[in-house]
Amino acid sequence: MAIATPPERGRILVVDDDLGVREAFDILLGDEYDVRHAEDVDGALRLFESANPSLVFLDIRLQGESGLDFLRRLGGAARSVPVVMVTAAVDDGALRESRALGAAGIVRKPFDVAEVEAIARASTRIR
Amino acid sequence: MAGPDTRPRKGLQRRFFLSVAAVIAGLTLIVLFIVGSRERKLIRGEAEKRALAMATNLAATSDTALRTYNYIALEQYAEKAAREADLAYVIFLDKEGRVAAFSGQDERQGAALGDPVSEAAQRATAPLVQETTWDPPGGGGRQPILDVAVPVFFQESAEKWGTVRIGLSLASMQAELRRTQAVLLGVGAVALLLALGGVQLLVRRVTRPVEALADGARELAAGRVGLQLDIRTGDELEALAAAFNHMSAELAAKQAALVQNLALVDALRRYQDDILRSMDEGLLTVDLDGRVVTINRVGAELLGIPSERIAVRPALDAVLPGGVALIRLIHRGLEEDEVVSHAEVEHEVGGRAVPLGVSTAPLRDPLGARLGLLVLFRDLTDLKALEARMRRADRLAALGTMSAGLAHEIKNPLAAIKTFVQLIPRKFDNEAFRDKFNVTVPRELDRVNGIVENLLELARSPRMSFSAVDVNGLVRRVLDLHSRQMEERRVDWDARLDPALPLARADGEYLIRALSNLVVNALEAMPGGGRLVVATAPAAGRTAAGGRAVEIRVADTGAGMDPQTVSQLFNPFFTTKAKGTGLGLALTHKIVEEHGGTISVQSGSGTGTLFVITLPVADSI
Repeated sequence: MAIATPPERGRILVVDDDLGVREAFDILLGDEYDVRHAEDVDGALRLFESANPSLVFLDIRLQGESGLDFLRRLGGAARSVPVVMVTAAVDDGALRESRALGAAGIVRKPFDVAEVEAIARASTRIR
Repeated sequence: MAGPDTRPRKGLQRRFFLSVAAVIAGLTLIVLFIVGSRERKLIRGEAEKRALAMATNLAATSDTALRTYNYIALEQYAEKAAREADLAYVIFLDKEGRVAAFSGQDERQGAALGDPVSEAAQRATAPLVQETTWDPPGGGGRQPILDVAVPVFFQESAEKWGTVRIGLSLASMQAELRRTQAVLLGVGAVALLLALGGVQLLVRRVTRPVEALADGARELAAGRVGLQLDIRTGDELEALAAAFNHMSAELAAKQAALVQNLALVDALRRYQDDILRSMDEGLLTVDLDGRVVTINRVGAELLGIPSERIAVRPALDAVLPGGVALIRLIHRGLEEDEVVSHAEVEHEVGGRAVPLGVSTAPLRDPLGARLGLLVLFRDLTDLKALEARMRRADRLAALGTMSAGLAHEIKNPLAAIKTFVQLIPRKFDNEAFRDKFNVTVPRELDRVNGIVENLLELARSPRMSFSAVDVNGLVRRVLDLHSRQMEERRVDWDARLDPALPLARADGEYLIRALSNLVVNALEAMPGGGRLVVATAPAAGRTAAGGRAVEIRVADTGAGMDPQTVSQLFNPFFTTKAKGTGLGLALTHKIVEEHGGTISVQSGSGTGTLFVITLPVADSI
C-alpha cells in the first residue's frame, strides 16, 4: 500500500465527458504535470481518493450526475484541493452554486492556454 | 272565474207546500163528499119516514071525510096539518082524482092536477115518495120538496077512495147539509194551515243545513279552504256535512302543499336566475325552430343583444346580424343532436370581430324528447392574447434552450481546437503533438461542421415530395438498418404491422430518417438491453385537417423520462445524453409536422417510452 506522499510532479485531475476537451488538457499540461482523466462523477471520486490530485478541472455538465454533484459528494475535502470549474455553458446559477460548494475558480470554454497554465502553476506551487 | 249560480232558491219549500196543500185539499174534499152524502141520505130517510108517518096518519084521520066527500073537514085537516114545520102543502084527492082540499089554495078545489108528479101520486096504489120542486104561492122561491102520496082504501077492500099528498120541504135539510159542509171546510182549512205550518218547520229543518252547506261551498269556492261546518241533524245531512268537512280539510292540506311547492319552485327559479346572472360565461338556449328562449346578461352583452328583444323569442338571424358562424354552429347543433365542445367562431359586434369559444349540448325533457339547444360561449380575446404571449415566451424559452445547447455543443470542440492551435508555436517540432493535432483538430472541426449542418437542415424548409407510401415496408427497412446495432445491444425487436394498413401520404426518405431517430433514441434509452416494439394501425382519431390517418407506435422498455424532460424533448439541442446533439428528435418532430401528421410521447421514469406518430392516409388528402 502506497503511502500518500506529495508527488514529484503536480497531479491534476480532469473531469470532462468530452474526448476533445480531455485531449486538449493532456496536450497542454501532460508534459509538466501528471494528468489523470475521469468521464463521470463516480470515476472522478475514485481517482480523487486514489491519485490524491493537487488540482481538479471539473466540467459542470456531465453525463448522469453533474459537476455540482461531485462537489457535494466531495464535501469538505474540496476545501483542501482547489477545484476549478470548466464550462461551456452560460448558466450563472450553476456557477454561483459551485462557488457556494467550494469551487476555487471558473474557466470558460474555449479557454486560453495561458490561463489554464497559470492556474496549474499557481495551484501546484502553493502545495 | 265563472261559477255555478249560487243564488239561494226556495223551490224545495214551494214544492213541499204545494204537494202538502194538494193532498190536504183532496182529503178534505173526499171527506166532504162522503160525510155530505151520508148525512144527506140520513136526513132524507128521516124526512121520508116523517112524511110517510104524517101522510099515513092523515089518511087514517081523513078516510071518513073522504068517503063522505066532506070537503070542509078535509080542508080543515089540510090547513091544520100544513101548519106542521117544513110542510109545504097538504093535498087531498077524491076518488076521481080531483083536488078535494089544498092547503092554502082553496080555489083549486075540484081541479085536476095535470103535472106528472100529481098524476103518479093519483095513480099510486101504495105509498109513493117523489122528489119535486114547489113554488109556494106566497113567494120565497122554488124549493125542493119530498112529495109523499098515500092512497086511502075503504077498510080491507081494494077500492081506492082517495089520496093524501103531503109536500115536505127539503130546504131546512139542505141548509143543515150546507152547515155541515161549512164546518167540514173549516176543519179542512184549519188542517191545511196546520199542515203547512208543519211543512214549513220540516222544510226549514231540511233546508237550513242544506243552505249552510251551499253557503259553505260558496265560501270554499271563494278561497276559504279548511272551512268546517257544524251540522248536527243526526241524519244524512250530517253525513253530508262530514263529507264536506273532510273535503275542505283535504283541500286545505292540498293547498298548503301547493303553496309549499310553489315556494320551492320560486326558490329554484331564483337559484337558477342567480346562477345565470353570476356566470361569467354567456348562456343561450334556443328552441327547435332556432328561436332564442333564454340568454343571460353576460351572453347578451357578449353578443350585443339588447335585453328587451329577448322577451319575444326572436329568431337568431334577427338578433345576431354579425353572427353567421355562430348561427351556423347552432343550426348544426340542432340538426346533429350532438355535444360540441370548444368550437371557435368569430362573432362581429359593433364592427369588431370577437373570438368566441362555443360549446353546445342538446336540451331534452325528462322523457328524452328534444327541446332545443344549450349554447355556452365565452370571449376568447384575453385567452388568445395570453396564448400569443405564451407562444412567444415558449419560443423565447426554446430559443434559450437551443442557444445553450448550441453553445455547449460548439464550445467543447472549440476548446480542443483552440488549445491545439495555441500550442502550435511552442510544440510544432514535437512529432507526437503533430500526430495528435492531425487526429483531434479535424475531428473536432467535423463536429462543429456537423452541428452547423444539422442546424441548417432544421431551419430549412425541407423539399418533400409526397407520394402514397407503404408505411409497413418503411418500418421494415428502418429495423433492417438498425438490426446489427440492436443485436449488439441485446435488444429484442418486434414489428406488429397491420397488413390492411392504408397507404400514407409521405416522403419515404424523410420518413425513414424520422423513424431512424426514434429507433436510435430508443436504443440509447436501453443501454443494458431491452425490447423494442414498432406497430402500425389505422388511427382512431383524425388528422388536423380532418382526414383519416395511420398510426406508427414505437415503444421501448428503457428508463423512461420525467415530465420535464418530455416537455422539452422536441426542442433543438435539448439532450440528456453526453453524445448527441439534441437535434434528432427535433428533426423527427419537424418531419412529421411537415407531413401534416402528429407526434406524441408517453413516458414515465421506469416505465419506458412510447412515441406515437400519425400520418394522413394517401386517399384522404
